[in-house]
Amino acid sequence: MNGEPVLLEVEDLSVDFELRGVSINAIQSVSLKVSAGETVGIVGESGSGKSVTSLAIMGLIKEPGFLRSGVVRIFGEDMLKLSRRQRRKYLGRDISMIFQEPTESLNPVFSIAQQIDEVLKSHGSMNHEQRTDRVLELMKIVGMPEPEKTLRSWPHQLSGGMNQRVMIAMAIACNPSLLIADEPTTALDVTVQEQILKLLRRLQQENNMGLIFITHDLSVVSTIADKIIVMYAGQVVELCATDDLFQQALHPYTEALLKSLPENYSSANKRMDSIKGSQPAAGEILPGCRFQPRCNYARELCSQQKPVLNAIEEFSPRAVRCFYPLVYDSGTV
Amino acid sequence: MPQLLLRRLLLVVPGFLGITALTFFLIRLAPGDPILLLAGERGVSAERYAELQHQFGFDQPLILQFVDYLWQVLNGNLGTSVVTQTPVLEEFGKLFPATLELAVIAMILATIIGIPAGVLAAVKRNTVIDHSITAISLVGYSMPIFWWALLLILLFSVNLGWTPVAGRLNFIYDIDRVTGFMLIDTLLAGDKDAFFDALHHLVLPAIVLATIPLAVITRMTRSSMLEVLKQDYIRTARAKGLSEFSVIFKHALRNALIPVITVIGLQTSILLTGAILTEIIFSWPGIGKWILEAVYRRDYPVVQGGVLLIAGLVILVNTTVDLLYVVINPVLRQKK
Amino acid sequence: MKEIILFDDLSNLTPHQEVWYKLRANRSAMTALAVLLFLIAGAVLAPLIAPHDPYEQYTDTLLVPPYLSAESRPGFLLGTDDLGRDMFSRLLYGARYSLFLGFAIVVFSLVSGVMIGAVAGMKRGLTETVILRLMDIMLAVPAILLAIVIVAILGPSLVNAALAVSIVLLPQFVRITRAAVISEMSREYVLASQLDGSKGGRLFFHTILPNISSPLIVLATLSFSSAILDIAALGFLGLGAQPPTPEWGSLLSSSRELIEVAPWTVTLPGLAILVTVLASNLLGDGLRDALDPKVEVR
Repeated sequence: MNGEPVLLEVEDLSVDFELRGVSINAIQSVSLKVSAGETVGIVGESGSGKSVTSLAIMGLIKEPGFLRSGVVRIFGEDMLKLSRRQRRKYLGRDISMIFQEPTESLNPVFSIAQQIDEVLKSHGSMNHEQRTDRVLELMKIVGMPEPEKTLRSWPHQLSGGMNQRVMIAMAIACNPSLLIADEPTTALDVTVQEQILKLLRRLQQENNMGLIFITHDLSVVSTIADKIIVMYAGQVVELCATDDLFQQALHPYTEALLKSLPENYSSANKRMDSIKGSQPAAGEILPGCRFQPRCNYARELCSQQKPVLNAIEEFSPRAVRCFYPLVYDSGTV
Repeated sequence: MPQLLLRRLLLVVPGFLGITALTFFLIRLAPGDPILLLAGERGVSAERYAELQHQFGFDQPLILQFVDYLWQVLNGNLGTSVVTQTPVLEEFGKLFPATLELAVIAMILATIIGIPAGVLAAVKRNTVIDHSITAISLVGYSMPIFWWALLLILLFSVNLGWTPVAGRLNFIYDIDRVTGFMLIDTLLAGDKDAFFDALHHLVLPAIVLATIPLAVITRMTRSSMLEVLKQDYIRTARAKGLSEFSVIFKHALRNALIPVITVIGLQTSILLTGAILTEIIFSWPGIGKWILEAVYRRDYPVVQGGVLLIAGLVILVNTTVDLLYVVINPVLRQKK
Repeated sequence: MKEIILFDDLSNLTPHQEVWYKLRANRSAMTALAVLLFLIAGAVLAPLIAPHDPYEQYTDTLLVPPYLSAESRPGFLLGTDDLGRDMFSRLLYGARYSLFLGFAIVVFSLVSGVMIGAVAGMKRGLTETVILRLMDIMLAVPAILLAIVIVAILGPSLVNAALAVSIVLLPQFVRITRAAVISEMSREYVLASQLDGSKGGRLFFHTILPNISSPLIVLATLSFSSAILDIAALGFLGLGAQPPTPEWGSLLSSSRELIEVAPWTVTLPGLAILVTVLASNLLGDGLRDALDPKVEVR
């Protein structure tokens, strides 16, 4: 975004999984940038690599996963070159993450208060009383009904929505500059989804926080993201400002995704479009473009060579990984 | 919660009744005349026989005999040893501390070695360390402990002369019996030499007895840790920037230990099995050796009473463990 | 997160093939299986391959050490005992007792345990409660003790020891069967079968049993280990096999006093037990992992 400092710069991130001597590529050459106050949405099917990307950014990739290449710069410092101990200082304090299954993501044997307090204790210098106050304050910030009661409870006693609020409270406890949300609303009811999205938006605006929002649901991300990254089979296939994307998609996959949205169900069609076929199997190596087998517009070149991500400077931020991006194909821009 | 407690305690009653019934019928099942068995093999005169018949109530219907027996048991009368002429309960009370001391030390050993070993194996999964620990615990689990005891005796007592072969204390020490626990009594008597001697005698039997629980605890801790480390909340803990130590020992271990603690508690039955074999080899004067010798000597009142007491003990410990489990697992506390 | 195991060509494997495939990949389980088969072969072929009669006493070769020692004698590969009997032959014949008895015990406990458990699980009500309580009581008495007492009542002999151990191992089978039956009874395929007219024995054997076989198989292998150890323990205590029967446990009992003079008479039988039980446990572990649906074949 204009004028705002760049919080996160990811360049050429690749992660492989090694199983029984076979190397399976999970994500390849992923790059992205997040500025303060900006929301970047990462969209893709399950298995597209969106979660792996977020975990790699946090430095949480463990065996059998291996980081093959890449630079992750937060406030200018390459996180991946840091030792685990040094990196830990940032996690939970400057960059936080919330996950898809909030109840599973909380430790069942500790109370809510204990778990939030833990973040403050390990990163801050507050004394016990200050922490207690802050914990209560956080509960109110995330809009928790009956904050004191909730604090004394255990995760299994609370609903998914409430636990997600707890996760958010833990994540923003130390006022991080960047928050990564990995499918935070997928496991929740639609009504609760709305509330959580609103909460995230509000928190972001109030603190000028950068937000990475990961989801498989294009319609959800459209309401919250400033720009969108579309991932497919471990690669970024399109990068675009949200409004522009919905105006005109450049990558055939994005177009198919847009078409399959319930909103785009037209009575003329009388059928919801879905994308035929499925992602390549793990470990399957294709000679050409990874989307080619399912692409409606595929041509000979597509199965022979691998397309790279091309930035389209004139319409920045815009990039597409395709030999024949849709608009260019039809000859108009 | 009190409801749960009450319900669990009530379940003990039929268990207790069942054990009593079981031991009651044991004597009636043994071949030969039960009166002669209960009176001893020295033979009885005809009048004594009739006397005993009336005393043991064999002239009454079976169900009344059982009720009578039950009543006797509840009053603390579990019969009298045919060999020593001492009440069974009294003998049990005298010998139990020896077994308890051995069992407690063995359990402590098994736990302080087993849990860290299991954690280490889980954290260093699929490395040489993990494979070694798993292999060793598998061997410990598969070993006939009477043979293991003999091997250790061969090595440490016979060949190296480091530890004594039998008993609890060298006969030159004369220690007053206060608690029945040799380690405590020697300290109370202020006799340091005796204390170390007692320790000396405890080492090998404790190691032997600890072997199987050690293997079980190691395996259980390892598999439980592996399960826990896969959980989402561990990922959250790391994302919060907590130290690896905190992640493993605070977040993971607390959860992983829950099933392990139940396993530890339920080892009582296994421990007592091991105790019988261990005590006989090391001539350790505990209830294991006592009941085994009673079997050899056809001392049926002791066998009957001993089984009742031992089984009752196991039920007691298992029930306590069940209740403790509810206490430490917050999830269960909510359910009724 | 599920574990992923990669294989080359695996389109449509039947559940049985899948289990076998996973087991094959487990090297230690396969080694264990090989060892067990080797031991079984040894036991079966004992009359043919044993160099001597296990009961024959060679009075001029008492307490001869095994092969690699200075005073060993030809023809006695593993030495002799205090009555001049060949250790190797005795161990070979001993394998017959341990392995075959172990097998018989497991079969007996399995069959009776499954039947009782099925009755408990299907009938419910009072029958179930009584059976459960009885099993709990049996489990409360330490295994060896229960076996010892049963043998004490029946009289010490190998057969009685085997019977005692079968009874001791019974409750586990009952509990597992009952639990599995109860959870299967509410499943749709059972209800469908019942609507079809299937009930009682037919319902159990035909419909339910095939689906609960996994935990039973695992328990059977582990019970095999327990059976061998328990028989040996009883033999050691003089309550099982009686001398001169060369059962491994009772071999240990008679050679206990020779521990300083002829340690091989003590180490060898115990080692035989250890190896057999270890192999059985490894195989059981491997089977448990192979039968675990959470480990995927991809």
